[in-house]
Amino acid sequence: MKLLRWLVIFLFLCACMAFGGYAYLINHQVAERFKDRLWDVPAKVYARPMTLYIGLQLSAKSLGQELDLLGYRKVSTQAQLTVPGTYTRYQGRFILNCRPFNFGDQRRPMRRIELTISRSRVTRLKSLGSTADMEQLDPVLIGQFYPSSMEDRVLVTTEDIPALLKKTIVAVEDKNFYSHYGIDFKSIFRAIVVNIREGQFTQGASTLTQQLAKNFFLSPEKTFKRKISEAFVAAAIERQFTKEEILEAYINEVYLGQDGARAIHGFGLGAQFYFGKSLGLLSPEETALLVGMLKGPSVYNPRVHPDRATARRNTVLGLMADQGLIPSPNLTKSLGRPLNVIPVPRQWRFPFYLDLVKRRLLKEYREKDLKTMGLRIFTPLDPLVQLAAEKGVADFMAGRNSKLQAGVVVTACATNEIQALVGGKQPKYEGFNRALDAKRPIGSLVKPAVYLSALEQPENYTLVTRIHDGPVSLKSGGRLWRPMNYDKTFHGELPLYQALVHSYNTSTVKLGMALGLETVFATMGQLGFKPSAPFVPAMLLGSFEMTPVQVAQVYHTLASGGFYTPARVINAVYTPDGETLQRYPLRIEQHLDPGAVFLVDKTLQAVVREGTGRSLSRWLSPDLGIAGKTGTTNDLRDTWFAGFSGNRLAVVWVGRDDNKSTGLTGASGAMQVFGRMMAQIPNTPLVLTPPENIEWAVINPQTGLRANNNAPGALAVPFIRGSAPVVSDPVPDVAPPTPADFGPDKQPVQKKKPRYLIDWLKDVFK
Amino acid sequence: MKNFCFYLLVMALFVLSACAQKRPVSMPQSHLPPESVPEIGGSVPAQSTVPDGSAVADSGDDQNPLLSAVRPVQRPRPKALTRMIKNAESQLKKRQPQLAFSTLEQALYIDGQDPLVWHLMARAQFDQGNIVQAVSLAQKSNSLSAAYPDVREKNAALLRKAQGRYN
Repeated sequence: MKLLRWLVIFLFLCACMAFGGYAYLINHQVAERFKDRLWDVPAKVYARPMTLYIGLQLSAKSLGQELDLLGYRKVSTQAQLTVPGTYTRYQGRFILNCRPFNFGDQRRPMRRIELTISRSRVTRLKSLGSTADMEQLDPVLIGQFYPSSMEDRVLVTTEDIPALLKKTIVAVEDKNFYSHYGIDFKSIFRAIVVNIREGQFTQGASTLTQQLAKNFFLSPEKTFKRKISEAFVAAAIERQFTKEEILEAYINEVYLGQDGARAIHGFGLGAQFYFGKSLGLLSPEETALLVGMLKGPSVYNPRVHPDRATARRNTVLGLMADQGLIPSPNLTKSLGRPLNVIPVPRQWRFPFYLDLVKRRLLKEYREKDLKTMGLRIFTPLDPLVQLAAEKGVADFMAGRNSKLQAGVVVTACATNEIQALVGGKQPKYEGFNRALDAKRPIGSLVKPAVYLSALEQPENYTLVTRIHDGPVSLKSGGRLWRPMNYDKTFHGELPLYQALVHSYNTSTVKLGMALGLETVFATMGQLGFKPSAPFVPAMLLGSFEMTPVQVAQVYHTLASGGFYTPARVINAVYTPDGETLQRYPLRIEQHLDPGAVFLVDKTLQAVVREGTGRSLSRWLSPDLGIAGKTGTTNDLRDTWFAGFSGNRLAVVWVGRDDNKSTGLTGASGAMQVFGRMMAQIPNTPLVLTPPENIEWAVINPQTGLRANNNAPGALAVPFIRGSAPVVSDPVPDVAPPTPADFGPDKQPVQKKKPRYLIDWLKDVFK
Repeated sequence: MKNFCFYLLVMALFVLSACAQKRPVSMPQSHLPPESVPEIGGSVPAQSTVPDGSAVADSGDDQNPLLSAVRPVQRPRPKALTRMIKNAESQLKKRQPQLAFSTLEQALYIDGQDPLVWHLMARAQFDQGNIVQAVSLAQKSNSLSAAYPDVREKNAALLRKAQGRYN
């Protein structure tokens, strides 16, 4: 008997120790989990914020599109502008109730903006009732990197949570929340009685803490063991945290519905998802609806089952009135109000662009962190440009060979920030991002590098240097290579710039060989991409491969006057608390002489005005002075166009994944996409500023000699200072100079120009 | 007699020089193209002047008739850009070069060709000790500042200071 008593005591002690040990373990785990980040919050990727100022080129349609992308609701009268994220419009006059936004380094408050758009320009701008120079909208959320659970949430802190919401949750879900210690025994007893009486499981007794414990730490199955664990965890939570902290965690954790694969968690995101507003702006009816949905988010989904949702909301409203949370006289009014739920917010996703963002981020961050840390990533994506690029591709592809594909990159000329990226004809990402991954021969897009190499030697070459376009045969790889011009004819002696304007192959090859392949590809390297050696003559016609993004980098150096700027796709990364994690500031390096680049850019303007790119005028006004270059590869397999206006550069590739012929040239393929796209977005005219080392002379392009202003065909031609011809064109009764007088090796002798007659006399007597 | 022959010869040469067919043509004094002659690649839109008439313009009435030089003109500057430039200048004065640089990066959205913006970016980098970047940005500013002698002077001063830091 005594032994039995000792055995019982021993077992009891063992049980106590096991109990204590388990409690200690759970307590430790809870502390660890709460101490670390509690929730997986997806990284959010934002577009550039739209900056508004007087004089900004912006159509009313584009602003409407931007507001649509932002999820702003259009209301019909000013009186309805009660909450942020709404706007009203009367013709070109917009009144916006802007949402507050935290940019990380600065916060923009909720405010009202008024603006007038007339003739596609902002002509009037007011902010908070007074005239403003500039305003900035909140940026469009373009995508998120979700954790594997696909949970999405907007974290809110205790200060952000309205008291009414807290009180309603407590009133509906756990009346004794502030008095129990994680487990409400009275409620359990009451639930048991009710369930036995009704013969089925109708009433639960989980406290808020238990629900939190279940969601956080435990599996969803309903077993006795899990219930025991839940009680331990709840007690541990209660032991370590205040009621306010527990309620805050609950409000951020609860599941409130589904948006496709995305799970809506927490009231912060719930308020946005169902009402398009932040938590602090919920009305009592909206609060009641969200709290009512806790009972069954899919059963009471207000979009799918509005009647059920209304009934449930009204039950909660009744409870709120009973508890004195809302004044009883208002109840009748509230009960009759509509649900006020917004349509499912469109998830504007630009997967090809996000792919690029992710690739850049993964160079510096772990994928897990990207998906769970709630980072805020600010990019230069311009959604309006992106949509225009997608539309440009779609419009071009309509009714054409279904196997045609495209890659497009658009960047800002000043900063080389990537504003848009299209990786295929379908905006849907298929795993192959042609803008980044399609390495294709670039054809004639290489030619500006050849001519730039020549123009960097002003003592030997100018834009009017005569070069020869004729048959050429070269030994390459043990075989004889005989390039031909696209039009299958030779054009004899011609000024250097004309060879580029008309994209003649044979003259380019001759020029390139005279300069040396090493020289040409060193220039190419300075522009931003050096193909790998060994160099062969066919590379002078672009037989090597590049991706559209790489081509954009090269052409950006041309567009920026010889200054190399690495392409940027991320401007800054912030933690959820607004702390700067990383900034990616503008960086530039002078790689080439701005004077030589200016000469090439002028010629690229001529390409569009009178050369292979002239049909671009179908889409874009010649007044824009677009500079560009077409590219076509053998058997019309790849078609390219790279061009820039004063503010935007775009590179387009059109081809087939199976590398078969497209039947298109650079002008009839890629350039058509470029034209369609650029015609939809604001472009400023390209007015090239001549650098200090540029001077102008009037030239007779037929002879390459100086001419009078009024001579027939006289052309103003820029030269690197000191390289302009000094010999003037002879009058007609004098025999014209023979072609042998010109050419790369026969440039008219560069003499120091006499400025005064006496100098000339000295020259004569010398 | 010898003197007389010499002067006669000089006079004859003087007269002949006026008739010379291959007489040298004066070089243009402007680095902008003549207005009356088509430009290579065709004409480009005329640059508008600043409304307050502060465009740089030389008197130039005695220009060579062969080359009627175009006066360099400053680009019109939207008020928003002027405000941002002022903000950046004030941030530089307050020794907040990083903030100033951010402001100026925003300014590039409005006009990426304004040499003053690039000059101030150069200053912001200089103040942060990034001399190589400061030099590059000043050179970029120079490449755009044909019509802005004041900006050119500021760039020159900055480049001299940068040179001093190197030495």
